[in-house]
Amino acid sequence: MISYVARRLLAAVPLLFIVSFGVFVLSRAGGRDPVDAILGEKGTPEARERVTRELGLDRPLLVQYGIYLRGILTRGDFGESYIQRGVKVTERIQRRFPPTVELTVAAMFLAILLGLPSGLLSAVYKSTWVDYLSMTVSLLGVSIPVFWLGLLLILAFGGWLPVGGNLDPTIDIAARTGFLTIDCVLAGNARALGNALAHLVLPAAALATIPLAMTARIARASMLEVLGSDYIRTARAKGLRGSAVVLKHAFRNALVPVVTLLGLEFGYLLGGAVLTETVFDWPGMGTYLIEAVFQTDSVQICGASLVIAVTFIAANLAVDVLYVWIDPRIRYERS
Amino acid sequence: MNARSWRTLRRHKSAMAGLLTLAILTILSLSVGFLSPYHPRQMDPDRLLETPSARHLLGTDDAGRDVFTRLFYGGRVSLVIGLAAVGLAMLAGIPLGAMAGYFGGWVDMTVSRLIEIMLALPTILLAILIAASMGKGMDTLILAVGIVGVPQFARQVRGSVLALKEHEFVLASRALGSSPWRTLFHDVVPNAMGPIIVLATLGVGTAILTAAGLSFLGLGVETGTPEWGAMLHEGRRVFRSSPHVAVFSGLAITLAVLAINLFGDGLRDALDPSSK
Repeated sequence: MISYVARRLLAAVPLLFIVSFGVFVLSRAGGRDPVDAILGEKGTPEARERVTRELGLDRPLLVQYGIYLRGILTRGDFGESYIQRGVKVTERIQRRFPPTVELTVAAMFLAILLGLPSGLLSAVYKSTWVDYLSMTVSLLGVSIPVFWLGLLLILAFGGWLPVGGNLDPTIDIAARTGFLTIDCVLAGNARALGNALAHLVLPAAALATIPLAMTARIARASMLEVLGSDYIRTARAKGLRGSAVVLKHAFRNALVPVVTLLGLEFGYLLGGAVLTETVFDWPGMGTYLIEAVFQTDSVQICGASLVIAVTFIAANLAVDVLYVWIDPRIRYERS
Repeated sequence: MNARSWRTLRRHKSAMAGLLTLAILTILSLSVGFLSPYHPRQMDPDRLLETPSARHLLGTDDAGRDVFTRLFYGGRVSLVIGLAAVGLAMLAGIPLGAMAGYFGGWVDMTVSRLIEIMLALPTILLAILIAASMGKGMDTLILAVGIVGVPQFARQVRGSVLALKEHEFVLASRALGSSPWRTLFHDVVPNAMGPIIVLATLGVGTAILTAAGLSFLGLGVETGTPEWGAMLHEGRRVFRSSPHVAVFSGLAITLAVLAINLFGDGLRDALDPSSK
């Protein structure tokens, strides 16, 4: 088990290097030329050359990437924006990352809490109205654009629930962890906590739809397969009650494929978060990335994308390890 | 596709419902020029944000343009983007996956790593980065959405080819003296088409969603182009007071993607009875 985890971690290292280099190059292409941004239109050729040298932009791309990466790995320094002078990308990321985690975790929670039982019930009550209803809803869930659903939710519930940002601007909470809900608890401020949670409801509901639908579909398929297997027939033949068979024998084994899906869903969540955050003006990594793209700010585009990408890779890795832990059969063979 | 698959597909009620919806959407999109007296970019400053009426069936947007007209011109744009992006993804993904599965060795190593790298980024992030680095426009949008679809096809084809290549008909083809390329693209790949067709169908839905997402963020088509995601982007600005623009354009996306998913699921059941 430990050697398997170590192997997986080692294999992720080159992947991280290549992905981050790709992100670095793409961000450069998506941003405005730093020299233009600093000097504006009136830069003389000499001034341009000087700034280019100062910023190290005359060196090979791979060297520039190496310097950038060294800054991140040794000092946690994601650089400074050329477009908005003085803006430290690391500080921005520290502020914008926790809200995205809170949103994705809330959405994941909703997706599992609602998707898993509805998928399992669909399988147990196959071809009844329970099944049809739950499968129709989950088909809708994978077809509906998350940003449109967000707008519809605002239209329907905007009168009762807050629809912009993650806290009322009138409430002041000291940032200790950066995670708003945790900070509210630490501050012992129940009103602020209630307000923060109310802000979470609609964005999390919108973001949860696709993973909810995916969970329900996979849970149904997996439960159906398990219910059709020999050992379930044996259990039934022994005269066990239906509910005992389902709960004690089938449930646990049906969970395995659902867990594998979690990694994939986390990707959808991180991706969907970019769109959902835009709809709800959520101050997270997604809106941060989009702001950076519109400011053509390559340093901030790169920082934001890297954090999202690394989070995604780390989540997938965690799921892979979790998977092996749950299903020992694939422990050492799977590479 | 054999006769039995056709029969299964034709009897698949939800698949046929999906196909019918798609057909209606396509016909309306193609004939909107005859059905509507308006031009999709024609503005009318006297009629801003009108609610649906006999004159403007689905109302007007914040520039006084007819929403019905824009919606179905937008259908052309969105469907073309979806189809073209999937075409592009297949064009690159199928040969890559086929070569990786058939030749193995360093070819497989390289392609598999490439797939892994591309799948290591959330789709929309990769699409945003590509779209941002190339600027707005329909061709950019197709390219961005197409590129992110490549690994799905490559992975699927690689798996199918791996499973097929030890079959006797492949050995027979080789024994008859066919070149490896001929065996691969003449004998192996055609036999792997079933799952590819399913993936391509469902892929059009995903591509439409991704493209609409990029346009919604303001990174897709040029401003003013009638495209569903872009209409949602514009409709969002006036959403609280006049929700109809955003509601109708989102409904169009949902309907199209739902129809594609229904048809795709039916195709899967028809082509691969074991997946039921």
